[in-house]
Amino acid sequence: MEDIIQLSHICKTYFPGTEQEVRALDDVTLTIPAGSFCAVQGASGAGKSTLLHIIGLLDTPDQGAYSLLGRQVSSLGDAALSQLRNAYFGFVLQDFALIPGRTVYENVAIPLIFGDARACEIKPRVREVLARVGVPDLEKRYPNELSGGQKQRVAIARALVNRPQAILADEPTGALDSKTGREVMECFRQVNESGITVIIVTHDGMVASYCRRLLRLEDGRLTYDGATPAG
Amino acid sequence: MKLLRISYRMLADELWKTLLLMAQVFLFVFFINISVGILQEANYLSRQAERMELSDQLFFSFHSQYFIELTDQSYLGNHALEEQLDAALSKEVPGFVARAATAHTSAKDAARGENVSFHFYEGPLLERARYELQEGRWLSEKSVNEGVISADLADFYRVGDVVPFTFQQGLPVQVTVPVKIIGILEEDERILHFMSGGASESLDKLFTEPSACILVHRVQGETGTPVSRSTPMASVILTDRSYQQAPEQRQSAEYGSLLSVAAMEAATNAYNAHRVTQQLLLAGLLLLLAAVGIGTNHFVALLSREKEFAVYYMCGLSWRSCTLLLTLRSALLLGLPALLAVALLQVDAVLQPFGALRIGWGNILISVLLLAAVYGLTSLPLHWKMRRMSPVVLFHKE
Repeated sequence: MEDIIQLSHICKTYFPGTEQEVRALDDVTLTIPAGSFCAVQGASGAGKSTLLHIIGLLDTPDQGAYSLLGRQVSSLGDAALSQLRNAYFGFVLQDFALIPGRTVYENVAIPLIFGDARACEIKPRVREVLARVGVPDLEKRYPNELSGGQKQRVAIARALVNRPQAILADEPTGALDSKTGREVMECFRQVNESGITVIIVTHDGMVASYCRRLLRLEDGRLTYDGATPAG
Repeated sequence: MKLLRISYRMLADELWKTLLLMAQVFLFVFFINISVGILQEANYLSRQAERMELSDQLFFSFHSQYFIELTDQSYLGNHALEEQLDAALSKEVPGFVARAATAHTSAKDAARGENVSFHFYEGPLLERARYELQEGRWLSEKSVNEGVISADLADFYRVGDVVPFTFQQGLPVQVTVPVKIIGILEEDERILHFMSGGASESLDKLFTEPSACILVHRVQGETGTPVSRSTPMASVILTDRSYQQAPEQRQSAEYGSLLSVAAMEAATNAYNAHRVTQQLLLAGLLLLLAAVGIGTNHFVALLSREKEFAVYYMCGLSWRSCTLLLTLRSALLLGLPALLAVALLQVDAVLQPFGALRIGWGNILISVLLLAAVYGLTSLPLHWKMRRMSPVVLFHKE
């Protein structure tokens, strides 16, 4: 299967040269083939979120090379990275990151507005993706009218609406009860079964058990890369 | 376009704050335009007086009814001056007289009261009336039954048209005279006003925007009778500098007034300075309030919407576009009310074509430059903050 993400000797340091200097990623090398279902685990401050941000082109590494679908992206500028981010990645965050003053429909449509979608395509695609994550009737609601599970499904719908290559999720069940968390993970499983790569940063063993591959980070170094116990 | 829509939406989310700021910007543009309009008008009038070499002249206006009694249905002669000035002086008056008459193009027009004023230019007045024409030529000594029309009549007549006008008032029989249109006054051009009564103390009374009027040198009917002998409406007399010492006690509003153009100019400037100072102070205060309001609004919008920007960035908007989004939002906040104010001022200018307010590109440019300065100054802290605030920091805050 084609590798969509190839990281080679990636390093990232925050506040370099100061007392607060933090080595968030230290010589991380990994390859993620298309269709993977990966969990990234590690203690707090181990560099999980930083790894996710670098993979998702939200942040850039200080050293190392990043190849996305065979294209070197380490040296690209803000605009080019933003285009790739829009086209290839969908993000799901712990606090859902929905804009409060916008309806579900408007929240989900955001990646389409910033992408290449034509205006006439937006409505059918938003409706299709809301139906796919199981919340077809919520499009006119506002985030504060939704339950936690519904909010996370809407966030997943937004991540999926632009038909990305990969979904990157940072503690997606962290704000949910265990039952709702399982429902959300089932949703991710279905997404992955449709061929989309899913990478989830999590502390939760239940979440990791849904994944087939586990990446473990300790102090910014990749210390384990293999199958999950359940996988 | 996408960013514009989102920035509009961001403003709509904070409707009341937005409306308050917009009201401030609107009022600022309104007042600054009025101030600039007053200054432009004063400047125009001074230049007009200078162009016609009136700066050392006397302006003499009669109360029209009194004038009619004095002149006994005839055009003004020196005997009218004798009533107002010392006889010894008036006999040597080398100035000139202007007269006016009304006419209509048909009985129907006359019935509706749609008359056209004929303003007669003779002697020195003919030579010194240096008005701007949008088309055609000015009158000459040989101009008989030729006329230059005011800009508003250009909707009905063109240069070259021969229009029959019927003069009735003050004549024993109706006299119809064909008048050839030889020129059209420039749109905002003002002409020497033929006072219809009362005293005149400022330049804007001396020059007014002509409405439905024809400037002529000589108009003659078939019999050769000068039509200009019809009822004089009122009069302007311009004399030379030897009459600047005319007795002040004769400056009575009841019977007429006598002022030097220079005195009128000084009075106009003093009055305008007072008005403009007031308006500019008000505009300055509003501009300051708007600047503080918009600057604070910029900053608060940025801080209160950090998460929203993080989401936009995450969904594919570059950080530069995020900055542009905020920039557009502020531009809308300034631009929409400014446009509205200019549009309303234009409407006002159309509805009151002879009012003091003049809206030109000059005042619009001044408003735009001032708003741009406010915009630039209030944007500085915003851009400073955006530069310092990496989008990734927002995600680390999550």
